[in-house]
Amino acid sequence: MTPFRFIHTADLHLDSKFAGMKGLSESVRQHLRESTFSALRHLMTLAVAEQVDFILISGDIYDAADSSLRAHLSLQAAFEELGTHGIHVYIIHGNHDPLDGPRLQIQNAEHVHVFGAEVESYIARRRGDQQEVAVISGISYPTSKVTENTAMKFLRDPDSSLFHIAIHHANVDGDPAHETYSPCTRKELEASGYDYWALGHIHQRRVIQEYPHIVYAGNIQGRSVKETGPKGCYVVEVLEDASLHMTFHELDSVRWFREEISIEGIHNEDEWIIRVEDHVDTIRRLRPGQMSIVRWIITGRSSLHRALEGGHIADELEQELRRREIERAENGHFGGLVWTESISLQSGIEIDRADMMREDSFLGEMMRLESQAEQDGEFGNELIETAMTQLMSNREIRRMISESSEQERQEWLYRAGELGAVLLLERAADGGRK
Amino acid sequence: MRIERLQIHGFGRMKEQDITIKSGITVFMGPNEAGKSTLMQFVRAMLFGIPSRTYPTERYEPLAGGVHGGILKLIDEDGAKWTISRYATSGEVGSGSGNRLEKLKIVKMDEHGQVRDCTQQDMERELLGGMSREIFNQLFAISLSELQEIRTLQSDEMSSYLFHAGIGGGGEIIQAERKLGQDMEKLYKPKGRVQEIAKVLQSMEQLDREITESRGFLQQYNVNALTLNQTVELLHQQEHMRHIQSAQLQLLRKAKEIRPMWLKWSEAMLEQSALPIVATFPADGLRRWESLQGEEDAASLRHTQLFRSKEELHTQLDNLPYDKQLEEQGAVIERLSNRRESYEVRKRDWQEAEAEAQALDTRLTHILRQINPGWTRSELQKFSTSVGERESVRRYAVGFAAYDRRIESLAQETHQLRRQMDIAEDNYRNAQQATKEETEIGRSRFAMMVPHSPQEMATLWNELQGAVERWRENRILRLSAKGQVDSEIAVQRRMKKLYLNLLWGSGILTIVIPILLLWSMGSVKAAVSLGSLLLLVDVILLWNGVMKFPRQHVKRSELNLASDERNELERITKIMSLLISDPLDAAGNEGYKKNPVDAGELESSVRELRKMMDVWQLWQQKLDKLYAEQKACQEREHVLSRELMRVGESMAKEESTFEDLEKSWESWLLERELHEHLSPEAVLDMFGLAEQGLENIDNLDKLRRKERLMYQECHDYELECLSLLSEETDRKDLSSVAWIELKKKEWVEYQETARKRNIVLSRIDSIEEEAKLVTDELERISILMQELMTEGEADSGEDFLRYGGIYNRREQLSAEIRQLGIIMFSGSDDRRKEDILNMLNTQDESELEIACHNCELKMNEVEARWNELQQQHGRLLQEKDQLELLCLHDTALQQLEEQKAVLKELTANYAVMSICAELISRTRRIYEEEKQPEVLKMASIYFERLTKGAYTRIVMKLGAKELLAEHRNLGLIDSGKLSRGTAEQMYLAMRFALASTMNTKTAVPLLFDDIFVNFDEERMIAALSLLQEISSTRQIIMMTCHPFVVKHIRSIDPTVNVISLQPSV
Repeated sequence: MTPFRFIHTADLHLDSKFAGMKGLSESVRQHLRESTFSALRHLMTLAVAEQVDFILISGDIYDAADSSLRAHLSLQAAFEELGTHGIHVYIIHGNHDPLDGPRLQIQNAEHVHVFGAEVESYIARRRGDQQEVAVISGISYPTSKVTENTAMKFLRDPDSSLFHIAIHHANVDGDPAHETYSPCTRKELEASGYDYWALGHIHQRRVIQEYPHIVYAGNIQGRSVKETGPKGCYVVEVLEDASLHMTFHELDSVRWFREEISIEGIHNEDEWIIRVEDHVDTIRRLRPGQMSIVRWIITGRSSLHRALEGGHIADELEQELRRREIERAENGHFGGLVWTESISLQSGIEIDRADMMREDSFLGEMMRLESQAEQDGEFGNELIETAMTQLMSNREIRRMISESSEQERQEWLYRAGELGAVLLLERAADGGRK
Repeated sequence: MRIERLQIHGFGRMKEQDITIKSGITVFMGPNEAGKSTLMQFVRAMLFGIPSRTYPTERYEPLAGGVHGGILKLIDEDGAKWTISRYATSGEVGSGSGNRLEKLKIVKMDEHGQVRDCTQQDMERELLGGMSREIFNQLFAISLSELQEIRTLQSDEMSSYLFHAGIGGGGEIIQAERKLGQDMEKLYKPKGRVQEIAKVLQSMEQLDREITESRGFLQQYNVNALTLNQTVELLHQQEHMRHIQSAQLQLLRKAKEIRPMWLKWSEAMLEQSALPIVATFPADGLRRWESLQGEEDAASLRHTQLFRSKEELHTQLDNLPYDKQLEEQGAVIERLSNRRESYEVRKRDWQEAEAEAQALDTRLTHILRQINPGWTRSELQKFSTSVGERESVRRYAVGFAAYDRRIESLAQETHQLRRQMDIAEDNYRNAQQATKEETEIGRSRFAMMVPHSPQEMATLWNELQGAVERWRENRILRLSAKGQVDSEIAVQRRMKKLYLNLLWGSGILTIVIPILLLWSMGSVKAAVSLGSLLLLVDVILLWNGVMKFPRQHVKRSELNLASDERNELERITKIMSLLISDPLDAAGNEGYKKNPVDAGELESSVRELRKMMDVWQLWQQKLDKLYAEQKACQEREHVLSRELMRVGESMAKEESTFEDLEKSWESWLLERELHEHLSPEAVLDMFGLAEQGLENIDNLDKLRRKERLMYQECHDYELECLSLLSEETDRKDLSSVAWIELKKKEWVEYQETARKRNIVLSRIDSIEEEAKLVTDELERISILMQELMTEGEADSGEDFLRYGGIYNRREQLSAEIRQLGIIMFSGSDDRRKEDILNMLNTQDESELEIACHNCELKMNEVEARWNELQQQHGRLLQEKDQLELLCLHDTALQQLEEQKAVLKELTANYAVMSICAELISRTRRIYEEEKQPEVLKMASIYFERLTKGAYTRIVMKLGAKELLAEHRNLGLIDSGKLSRGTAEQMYLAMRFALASTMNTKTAVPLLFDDIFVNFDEERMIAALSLLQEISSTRQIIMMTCHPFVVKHIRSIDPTVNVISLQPSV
C-alpha cells in the first residue's frame, strides 16, 4: 500500500459562541471569539508543517444558525491557503451546517471537495507524486435533522484495493449527551468494509475501535464547560503495511477546566478565598501560554457554606477574580489568563443528610421530600414545574428550562434542599432538633 | 408554683390588703369595682414590674393612698418560698420591668431555710421557667379582652410554641418562606421590569435584534457578491458603448466645426482646377521683372542728366584762362615774397650790430685806461685773473690787516696799564698818610699807658683780671664766714656734679667732634687741634671737678685768709702799675695802696681800667688794619710796573714782522708790471676791471662776425630779386621789395583761377566716368530681362506678366488648400478623413446640427448610465468592505450567549429558591394535614370537651396565622367565622393546651378574669369542670362578679376557695 498521511478533524464550529461566560470585557470577548479562528489557523499551520496529503473535515464547520459571515470568509481564506500548498480538502456538512443552511455562494476551488446529500466517493492522491492512495466517501446533511441511518449507504468498492475512508457525521451507539442524528452502531460501521471512519458530531475525541478505525476527532476548540481538556485533531499516517499511526495535536488556544474545591475543614472566608486563589495560580502555572477558563465547583460541608450561600462572598470573589484577569487582558497578557467561568456552589452546611432524612422534623420531612424528587423523575419534574410556573410565562426561560439537562435539574433539587437546610437552621445550628 | 399571699400596700383602689390564697381553685367574687381586675394586674405587676407612667391604665397608681406596690409571696415546686416586694418610686417616667424606677427585693428561701437575694432575671428563670411578660399576660393571666384577641396567638414566640415539636418552630419556616419570596422577587416578578431576570431578558432582546441584523450579513454578502459581478459586467458593456458613442460624437462635432473651412477648401479646389496650367515660371519672376524695369528707367534718366552737366562744365572751363610764364615764376615769387620780411629784419639788425660794435670799442678803451694807461689790449689779455692770483693777493691783504689789529690792541693795553699804575700810586700814598695820622692820635690818647707791645698788654690785662677775680672770690668767702660752709659744700657738690657732667659731655665731645670733623671735613689738622683743645678743656674740668676739693678742705682752716688778701692786692697793684703809668690814674691806685683793704676803690679803678682797655683795644685793631692796607697798595704798584714793561717788548716784535711783509708785497707787484704802491685791495679791484675788459673784447669779436654774415644775406636776396626783374624791365623803378609784393599779388590771383579750373576739369572727368557706368548698367538690365522672358517661355513682357499672374494664383490656392486640409484633418487618419468628408458631402449644416445634437443626447445618456454603474460598483465594494469589517468586530452573538449564561444562572438560582420554597410549602402542607403539633392536638381535645363534641379538632394553617376549627359536621371553619362564644372557647382550649404543653417543669398559675360571660351554661360547666381537672396540677385563680359562676363551681368542686371582695370606698 502506498503510504500517505492526512488530518482528520471535525466540528470546527467556527465563530462559535462560548457558553456560560459572564462579565467579559471587550478584549476578553474578542480573544474568545478569535479562539476558533486561531484554532483553524493552527490547523492550517499543522497541515503545512506535517506535509499532509489532504484534510478531512467531518462536518459542523460552522454554526449555520449563526450564519457568521466571518466564519465563511476565514474558511474561504484557509482553503485558499491550503490550495497554494496543494493540500486537498474533503468536507461534509453536519447538523449544524446542513446543505440547506446559509452559505457563502462562491464556487469552490478544485482542491475543495464537498460531499452532497448522497454518498459520493473521490479518489485522493498523494501530494508529492499524484499517486492514487485512497478512496474517500462521504455524505452531507441535507437538512439539520437527519434521523435516518445513513451509514448503511457506505459500501466499499470491492474492486478497489485502495485505503477506504468514510467521512460521516453521526452519533455512534447513541451518545445521550448529543443529538442522535444519523444513528448507527459500531458494528454496522465495522461491517461496511471501510478502513477508517472519520467521524464528527461528538465533541469528545474518542477512538471507538481500531482496524477498522472508528474515530471521533472531537472539536478543535472547547466552547463550554462541557468541553474541557485539550482539543485538536488527528494526524493519521497510513503506512505501507496498511497499519495506522495516529497522533493527536492540540489546536485550541483556550482551554476549559472544571476544578473542585472542597470547603471541608474551612470555616473562615479568607481561608477559602486563599484556597481558590491558590487553585487559580495552579491553573495559571499549568497553562502559562494560553488562556484557561475554569468552573470552580465548591463541594464539601462546612459552616462556611452558610456564608457562601447567604452572603455575597462567592459573587464578590468571582468578580474580583474576573477583574484581575480583565486587567491582564487589557495589558494584552492572554497567556496564563485564568478566567473564572463561575463558582458553582455544591457545598452544604455541616449536617448529615442521612441523619436529617431520618429525623421526624420539618427539615427532615422536607429533605425526604427533596430526596424523593431527586429519585422520582416525574415527581421531581412536577415539583420543578410547579416551582417555575411563574417563569414559564417567558418564552426564553421556558426554552431554557425545557433544555435544561437532567443533571441540572438534579442539581437544582439538591441545592434547594441545602438551601432549605440553611434557611431553616439559620437561627440555631442545633435548632429545634429535640 | 403557687401564689401564697398578696400583700397590697397601695395599688389602684386597693390599700393595705393582705390576701392569702390556697392551692387549687380560688375564686374572687365581688361586685364591679371590688378590685378583681386590680388584683390580677397586681399579680402581673409584682411578677414583671409595675408598668411605667407611659401606661397609666395598667400602672394602677394608688387612689386611696399608701405606698404604690406590695409584696407577693409564692411557693415553687421545690417548696422554696419566694418573696417579691416591689414598690414604685415616684419620679421620672420609665418603662419596662425590673427597672430602676422601682424598689425591688426578691428573696428566695428554700426548703432548708436558706435565704438568698435574687434578681428579676433569676426569678423569671427559676420561678417562671423563662416565661416572658407577654406570654404570661396572654396565656396565664387573661381577661376577656386578651381571650378575644386573635393576635395574641400569633406572635412569633407563640408560633414557636405552637410548632415546638417541629424543627426550629414555625418562625423559621415563615421567615424562610418570606426570604425566599423576597429573593425570588428580586430575580423575577411577572410583568416586573427591574428584576434581574427581566433586565437580562431585555438586553437579550436588544442583542437579538442586533444578531438578526448580523445574521443577515452572510446573505447580504452573497447578494453583494452577485450584484457586484453583474455590475462589473454591465460596466464593461457600458464602457464599450460609451467609447463608440463618443467616437461618433467627436466625428460629428469635427464635421460641424470644420464645415466653414471645408466650404472654402472646396471652393479653392474648384478654382484651382479651372485655372490653366503654367508649367514653368521663374521663381519670383514677376517681382524680378518689375525691379529690372525700375532699374532700367532709373539708369536712362541718369544718363541724360550726366550728359547735360558735362556740357555745362565745358562752358565754364572756357571762361578760365591759362598763363604759362606766371606759372613758371610762381614758385620763385612765392619764395621771395616769403623771405621778404626776414630780409628786412636782417638788414635792420645788421645796422644795429655795427653801432653796438663801436660802443664796445669805446668802452674797452676806457677800461684799459682805468687799469693802467700804459696798457693795451694785449697786456690786458695777458693779465691773469686766475683764482690763484686772487688768493695770493688776498693773503697779503689779510697779513696787513692782522698786523694792524695786533698793534692796535697792544697800544690799548699799554694805555690801560699806565692808568692803573697811577691809581695804585695814589692809593699807596693815601694809606701811608692815614697810618701816620692814626699812630699819632693813638700816641696822644694813650700816653699814660706804659708802652708795651700789644701782646704784652693783653697778657698783663688778663693777669690783672685774674688777680681781681681771685680777690673777689676770697672776699666773698671771707664774708660768708663759717655759716656758709655747709651750703658751700652743697654748692661745691653740685658744682662737682656739674663738672662731672660737663667732663662727661666734653669727653664725649672730645671723642665725637674730632671724628665728626675728620669724617665731614677730612681735615686731620683741624681735628687734631680741636681734639687737643677739647682734651685741654677736659683736663681743666677734671681738675676743677677732682682736684679743687682738697683745696676746699684746706680753705676750711680759714686761718690765713687775711694775709692772702693782702698778697693779692699787692699783686694787683703791681700788675696795674705795670700797665698804667699815667699819674692821674695812679692817684686812684694809690688809694688802694694806702688802703689796700678798701675793696670798693679797687673795684672802681678796675672798672675804669677796663673801660680804657676796651678803647685801647679798638684803636689797636684799627691801626692794624691801616697797616695792612698800606702794604697791599704797595704790592699792587709793583705788579703794574712789571706788566707795562712786558707790553712794550711785544710791540717792538710786531714792527719787525710788518716790514718783512711789506717787502714781499712790493716784489709781487713788480713782477706783474704794476704800480708798486698799489695796495692789495686795489689790485683786487683791478682784477674786476680786467675781467670786464676781457669780456668786452670777446663781445666785440662776436658782433663783428655777425655783422658780416648779415650783410652777405641781404646782398644775396637783392641779387635774386634782380634776376626776376631782368625779365620785366619796365618795373625797374620799384624797389625789389615792393615789386616782389606786386608780383606776389598777381600770383595769388592766378592761383585762384587755376584751382577753379582744376575743379571743373575733375568734375568733367568724373561725369564721363559715370556716364560710362550707366551705359553698362543699361546693357546688363536688358540682358537680364531677356533671360527672364526666355525662362518664362514668354514672347513678350506682357505675356510674361500674365503667366506670372496665373502662376501666382495657383500657388496661392494650393497653399490655401493645403492649410485648410491640415486644419481640418490633422490628427485624423485617412478613414476618418473620408468619413468626415463623406459626412460633409452628404449632410448640410442643419442636418449636421441635428445629428450632432442627437448624438450628444445619446452620449449623455450613456454617460449617465455609466456613472451610475460606477457609483453602484463603488457602493458595492464599500458595502463588501463594510460587511467584512462588521463581521470582524461583531460580538453580539457572544454577548447574547453571555446574557444567556447570566439568565441561566439566574434561572437556576431562581429555580433553587423556588424549589426550596415549594419544598417548604409542601412539607408545611404535610405538617398541616398530617402532623399538627401536639399543642393543637391537646387543644382539639379541650375544644371538643368545651363544645361537647360539636367541634372535633383545631387545625392551624402553617404560616397563615389562622386557626381553623373542624366541626363535627361542617368540617374546617375559619376561626373568624365562628360564633363569639365558640371562638372564645377555642382560644381557651388553645390556652389550656399551650399552658399544659409549656413549661412542664413549672406549673404557672392561671388567672382568669371573668372570661366565661359569653359561655352558655352547658359549656360554662364544661369549662369549669375542665378547670377543676386542671387545678389538680396548677393553681387557678378566678375572678367573677356572677354568683351563678360561684354556684356552679361550688357544685363541681366543693373545696373551692371563694373569697369575697367588697368594693373599698
